[in-house]
Amino acid sequence: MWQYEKKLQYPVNIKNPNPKYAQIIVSQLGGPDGEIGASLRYLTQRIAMPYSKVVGILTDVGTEELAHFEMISAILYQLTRNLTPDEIVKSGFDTYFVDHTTGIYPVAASGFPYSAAQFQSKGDVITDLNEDLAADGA
Amino acid sequence: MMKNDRTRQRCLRELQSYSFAVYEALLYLDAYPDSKAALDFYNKYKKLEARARAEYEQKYGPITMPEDATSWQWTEGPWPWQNDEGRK
Repeated sequence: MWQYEKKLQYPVNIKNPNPKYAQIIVSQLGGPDGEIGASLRYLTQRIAMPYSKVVGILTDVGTEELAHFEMISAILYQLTRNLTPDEIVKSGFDTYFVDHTTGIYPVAASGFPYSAAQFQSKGDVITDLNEDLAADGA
Repeated sequence: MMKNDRTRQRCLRELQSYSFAVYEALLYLDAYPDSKAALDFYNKYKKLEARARAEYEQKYGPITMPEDATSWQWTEGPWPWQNDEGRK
């Protein structure tokens, strides 16, 4: 199981909202190389992994990715506070705002919602580790 | 209020920096469990982290589920993504 820690892995303290940045940074949440994909990749692959050491690494890295997910969420939240309708339209954030307002939703910057089709869990050591290299070594 | 929160954030930062070091050491040890240097590093910073965590929790409330709770503080205070600007 997991236990939540009521702190970010690294502080996030944004003074100036910027919806344009938010629209790009959201890809790090729900895009093809985003944190939710990273955590699901490691936390699913670890179950069929036959080597205990590798299970340990996948468990602990997958857990850390969840902390990254929280930090990116904090960045998005702080970038989109107190926006005026004019700022929303002019920045181009309106295409996100119409569906989610300023709620945190995992999509790619293109608007494509997070999809598990963006990673693989094959039950084979070499295949999965190569998949991890391609994902996180990029 | 703002000044108190700056003091809180300094205390939190100390905990965060020790936690970061501990977690990096943990990841390294998963791959190299026989490294004496890494184990020493881990133990050194785990102690400092525990001390910083205890200090923060005593002053500002629980980071994880509290022991011997006399009142329920878990939902009090800012959540980690809420900085000064966003708090209600």
